[in-house]
Amino acid sequence: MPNKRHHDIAGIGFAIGFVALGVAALYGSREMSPLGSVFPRTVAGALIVFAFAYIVEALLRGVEQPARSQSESTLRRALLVGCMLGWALLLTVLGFVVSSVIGFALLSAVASYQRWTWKRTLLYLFANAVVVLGFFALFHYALLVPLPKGLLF
Amino acid sequence: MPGLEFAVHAFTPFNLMLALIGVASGTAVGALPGLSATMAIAVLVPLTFTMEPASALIMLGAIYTGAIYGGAYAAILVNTPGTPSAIATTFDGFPMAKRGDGDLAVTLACLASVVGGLVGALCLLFFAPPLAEVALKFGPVEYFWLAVFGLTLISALSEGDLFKGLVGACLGLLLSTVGVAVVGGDIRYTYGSQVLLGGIEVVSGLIGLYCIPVLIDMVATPDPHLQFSGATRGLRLLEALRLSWRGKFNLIRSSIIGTLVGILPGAGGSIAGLVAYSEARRASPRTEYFGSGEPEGVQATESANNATVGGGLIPTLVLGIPGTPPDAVMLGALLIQGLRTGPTLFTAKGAIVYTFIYGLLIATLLMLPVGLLIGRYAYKSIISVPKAVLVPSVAFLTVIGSYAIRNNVSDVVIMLALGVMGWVLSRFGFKPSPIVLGLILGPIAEQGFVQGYLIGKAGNNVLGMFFGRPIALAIIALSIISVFSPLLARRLKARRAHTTDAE
Repeated sequence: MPNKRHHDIAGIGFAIGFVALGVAALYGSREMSPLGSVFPRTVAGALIVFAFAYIVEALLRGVEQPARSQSESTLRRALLVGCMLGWALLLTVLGFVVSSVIGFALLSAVASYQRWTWKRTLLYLFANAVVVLGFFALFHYALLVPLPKGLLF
Repeated sequence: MPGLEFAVHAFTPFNLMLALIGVASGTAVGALPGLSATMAIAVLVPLTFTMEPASALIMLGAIYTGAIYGGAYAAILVNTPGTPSAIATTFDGFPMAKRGDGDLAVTLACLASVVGGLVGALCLLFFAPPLAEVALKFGPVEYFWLAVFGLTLISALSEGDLFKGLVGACLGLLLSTVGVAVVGGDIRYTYGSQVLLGGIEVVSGLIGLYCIPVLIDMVATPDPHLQFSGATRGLRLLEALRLSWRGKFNLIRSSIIGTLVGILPGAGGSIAGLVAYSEARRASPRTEYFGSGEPEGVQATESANNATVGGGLIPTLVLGIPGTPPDAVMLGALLIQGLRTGPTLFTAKGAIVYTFIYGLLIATLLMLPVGLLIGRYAYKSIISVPKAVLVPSVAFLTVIGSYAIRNNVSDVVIMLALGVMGWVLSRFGFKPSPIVLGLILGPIAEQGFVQGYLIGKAGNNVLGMFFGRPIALAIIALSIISVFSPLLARRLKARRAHTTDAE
C-alpha cells in the first residue's frame, strides 16, 4: 500500500532552524573584514534562501511518511553516544590506553545482543586488549603520534 | 616507450620487494580512517634516506598508490572513507555491501584502482611536460568554478530532495568557514573558543558524519551489519572482470578525469572522485540506480582517485609544484635525494625518473594480487566479527583516527558532535554527503572566489574575471549540465513512457 503524503513538519522545523542559523551567521559576520566576510555572508544568504524554498515546497507538495522499524533501541543509541563522549573526555585525564580499554569494554556491552558466557567475555576482553594495545603500539612507536598519557597510562 | 632502457632497473629484486612492501603497507594505512597517505609517506621518508634515489621513490610511490586504494575498504564495508579520496566510493560501495555484494564491490574497486593507477602512470610517462602546462592555466577563478562543479553533484545525490541537499551543502560550507579565514586571516565564528580556532578538520568531520551514524544504527538492532548469504563466493573476480569490461568507457573516462584533476595543485583525489562520479552518473543508462549500489559508481571513483597519483606527480616532477599533499612530501624526498625538479629533470636525471615511473607502474600492477588478497580478508573479517567487537573496534578507530590528525582531543569531540548531528539530520532527510561536500570544497571555493574577486577588482573587471575565461566557461557549462541533466533525463523518460503508453 502506498504511504500517505503529509506535511514534513519535522523537516519544516529544521528548515526554520537553518533560517535562524543563517541569520545568526550574517549577524556574526558584521565585525569581520570585507575579505573575511564575503564568503560566509554569501553562504548564509544562500542557506536562508534554500531553507525558505524547502519550507514552501514542503507546504505545497507534502512528502511520503518514511517507514521506520519499531524494534530499534533508542537506549542503546544514547548509551553509545554517552560512552564515546566520556571516552573522548577521559582521554587526557586517565590516559589513552586506560580510557580506551574502558571505552571499548563499555561499547562491547552496549552492542552485544547475545547471552554473556565466560568464554564470550574472555574472547571480547582479548579482542579489546589486542585492538587497543596493537594500535597503541602502531601509533605511539611506529608513527610517533604523541598519545595522551594522563594520570595512569 | 620513453626511457625503456631504464625499465630493467625497476625490475631488480630489491625494487620489486620495495614496491610490494609499499603497496601492502599503504593499503593497510589507507584502510584505517584518519591515517592518510601523506602521513604514511611523511613517516617513512627517513627510511629512504640511505636508499638509491629511484628505489626510495618507488617505495614512496607504492605506499601512496596503495593508500589511495586502501581507502575503499572502509568506505565499502563500514561507510567511512579511509581517505578523503574515497568519499564518493561510499555512495554505492556501502549500499552494495549492505545488500550482500561487499566482496564484489571490493574486487571491483581493486580492478578500477589498478586501471586508474596505470592510466595516471602512463600519462606521467608519455605526456608529463605538455600536461604540466594545464596546471599553469588554472587560476583562482578556475578553482572556484571547479569547487562549484563539485558542489553540483548535490543535485545528483539528493534527487527528489534538492532543497534539502542544497541546505546541507550550505551548512557544510558554513562549517568550513569556522576558524581562521583562508584569505585575510579573520577569526570567524569561534565565539572566543580556543577549540574552534583551528577550524573543523576535514577528515575528523568526514569520519564523524559518515561513521558515527553507522555506529549509532548498528547498536540499535541485533541484525547483522552487512547481509551475507552464507555461501562462500570467493573473490567474484570473473563477475568483477565482466562488469569492468562492460564499464570500460566509464573506467577510461574516470581515469582521464582523475589524471587531469590530479595535475591541478590542491584539487586532490576527493574532487577527482566526485567529478568522475558525477560524469559517470550523467553518462550512464542506469542513472537511477546510482546511490543505491551501482557498480559503475564504485568503478568511477576508484579509478579516478588512483589516477591522481600519476597525475599529481606530473606538476611535481616537471614544475616542482606538488599536485596533491602526498606529492608535497615526495617533493621534499626528491630534494633530499639531490634531485632538482624542472623540465630538464627527465633528461638530466632520466635514469632515476624513468626507473621510478616504471617502478610505479609495477607497484600499481602489484596492487591487483595484494589488494584482492587483503580485500578478501577485510570483507570476511567484517562479516564474521560479532557486533560486540566490531562496534567498539570501529569506534576506537574513529577516536584514534580523529585524534592523530592534529594530536588534539578537541577533534575527537567535534567528530562525535558532527556525527550525532549528521545522524539526527539524516533521520529527517538531510543527508550527510552534501554537508561533507560543502566542508571539503568550502576552503577551495572561498580562496578561489576571494582571490579572483581581488584580481578582477584590481583590473576593474570582476564579471569578466569570473565569466570571461575559456576554461572557467567550460567548467560553468559542465556544472549547468550536471545540475540539470538528472531533471532532463527524468522528463525524457516520462515523455518516452507516455509515448509508449499512447501507442
